[in-house]
Amino acid sequence: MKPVRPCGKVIYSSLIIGIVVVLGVDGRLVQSGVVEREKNIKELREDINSLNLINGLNLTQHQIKHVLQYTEEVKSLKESYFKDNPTAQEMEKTFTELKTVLEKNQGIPYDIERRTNNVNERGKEEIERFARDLKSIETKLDAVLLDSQKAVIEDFNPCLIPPKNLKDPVRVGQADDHSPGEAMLERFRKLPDTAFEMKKDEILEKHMENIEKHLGKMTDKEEEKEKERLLAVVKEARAMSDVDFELNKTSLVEKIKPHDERKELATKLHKINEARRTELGKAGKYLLNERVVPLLEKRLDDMKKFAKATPVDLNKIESADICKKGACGLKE
Amino acid sequence: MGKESISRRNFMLNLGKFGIGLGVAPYVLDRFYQENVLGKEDSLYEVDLRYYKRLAGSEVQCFICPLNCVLNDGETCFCRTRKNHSGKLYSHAYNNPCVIRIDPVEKTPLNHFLPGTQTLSVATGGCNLRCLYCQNWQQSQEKPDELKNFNLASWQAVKGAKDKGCNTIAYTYTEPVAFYEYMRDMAVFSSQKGVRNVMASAGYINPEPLRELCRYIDGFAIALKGFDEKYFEKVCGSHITPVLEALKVIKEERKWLEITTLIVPTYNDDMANLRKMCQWIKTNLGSDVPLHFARFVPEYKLKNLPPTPVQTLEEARKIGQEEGLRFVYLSNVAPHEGNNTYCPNCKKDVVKRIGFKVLENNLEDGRCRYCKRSIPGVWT
Repeated sequence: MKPVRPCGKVIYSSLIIGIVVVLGVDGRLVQSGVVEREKNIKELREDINSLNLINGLNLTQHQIKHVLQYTEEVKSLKESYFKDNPTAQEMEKTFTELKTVLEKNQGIPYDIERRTNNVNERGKEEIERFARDLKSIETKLDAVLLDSQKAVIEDFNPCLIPPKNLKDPVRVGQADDHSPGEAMLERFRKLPDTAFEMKKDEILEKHMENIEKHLGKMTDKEEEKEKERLLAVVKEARAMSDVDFELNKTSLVEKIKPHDERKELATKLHKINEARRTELGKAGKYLLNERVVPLLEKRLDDMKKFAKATPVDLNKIESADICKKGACGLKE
Repeated sequence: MGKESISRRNFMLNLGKFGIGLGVAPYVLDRFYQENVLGKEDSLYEVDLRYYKRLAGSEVQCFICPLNCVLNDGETCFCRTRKNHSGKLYSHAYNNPCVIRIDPVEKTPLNHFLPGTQTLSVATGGCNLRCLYCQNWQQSQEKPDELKNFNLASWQAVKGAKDKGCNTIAYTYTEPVAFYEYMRDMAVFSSQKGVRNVMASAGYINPEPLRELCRYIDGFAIALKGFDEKYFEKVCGSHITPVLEALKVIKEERKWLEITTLIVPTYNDDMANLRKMCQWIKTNLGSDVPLHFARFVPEYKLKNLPPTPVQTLEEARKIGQEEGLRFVYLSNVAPHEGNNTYCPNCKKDVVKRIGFKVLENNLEDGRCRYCKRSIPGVWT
């Protein structure tokens, strides 16, 4: 057996130490990798949501400049409240003391209790003032947005792939304008009676699954009721003449929409809260947000750099069919 | 006078005749009522002799549109709807729509015509143009007989429109010039019944049939595809001059008119050319004619192109405004300030829209609520 050279000893020991270290911290590395990835995915998701909204708003350069200005104002406001604010500093100190005392579980000294209540009260007042200041920035934001843009923001739900009305809205003069509900009813109408009887449960089941995706799991009773309601609309659609169906399909689609009690309650609650609300509304939440800043800056930059593509040479394109005078007749 | 006797046989015979007459009468009367009062029910309709001529042999020549197609027996016009049957020209589009839908009137697009109301949109297969970007090519580039159609007589359409609360019937989506007779007869009937008519067209029609149409059509949404003959020829398979003539005819006939230009990137987005177009509109039609610049979205044979950048549309809109057009809109971009109607006097938004949905209407009797300036359009 060959003896190990001194340099070899160094190399082997380093290797072993390395392996041990790696194995030792492996858990932490994996852990930090997971955290990092989780954070990345979360941030990517947020950015995609924001981009979907920004794309759906068609903000002008002028509007983007204003939004960026207001985002900057929000940032300074936050700094003034949370970074250099003595109340916030005192709150941090007192809460730390309270936590230490609670960890020991030996009762709360009167002085800490008094200071906690005091600083908490002051903190609440400051937060209310902060919310008011934040709201005033949001009011300025509201003033630069069109009513139609505000309507889009109000209807917007965070998403990865935007809904059809944002991604590919119906265009002027576009004949193909079928909603998924219309398509479903049309499928049902095309089925002959026997096929309908055979397939109706299967199709209804699929539809119920879709509904549940949006509304959450239903109870058996709710599901039964929903199916009955849906089946009645489908039967109504099937009984109609082609012309009647075309004229009534929009209202039929309205009828098949499930009754979403939770959404109704949420809307009601939203309305009640709206009047009393101190926190930001949807516009403020989505646009006066630090993560939106780089996205809007890039958009503004792209807009400034915008240059139209070179015009096409019409002589070189494959031209449309054209009728030559006197010889337009199409043969069978 | 002696009493005339009638044999039992004759009595039974006459009774039988009377019975048959009684049985057939409702059908005959109903048919007469539908054809003469309500409108014809057949899908094959002989074109009026005013708009076609019988030539030598069994050839015919159609005069509805500037193509003036000459057809041998069995041949169909370039629009795919009119066919020569043994020396007679028939429309195959009559009572034969492939699309019936209820839409907002703004989808036509008409922004100054009963905003916020519903219209019954009707279209048949066929078109006398061959636009490379057609968004309804599945219907427009087919013969009516090759599509799934609905048998819809004028009276049914009008009844449907009334039942569904539509103020108008819109002849749209494909090219109504291709279903001229069906549109005209439906418009005649519906105007008698208090339902107004609007037509969305490329305006490639001869003056005489257009003037006749102007008697019944209340609003026109004409697509002025560009302002360059080469573009018309190469991209739309058409010519510009007849369209400009049609626009002048509509104006002369004092009918409500709005113009739409689809901006196809790199094809017709030359701003100098669009400026010339705006100048022509102002000089020949007036500053009050609304102009819509519409965003192109890749379709049909131009799927390789990107959608029109919003900035290009905004630049076009600015040019229109600089040239003195008072109502310049952006279509197929929403939300956008170019969707709204602004009062030319106080500059306030008198009709706020998102796409073709009206959010707020601040017009009172056709006047701006804020400064009372009259806004041109059909408002009531």
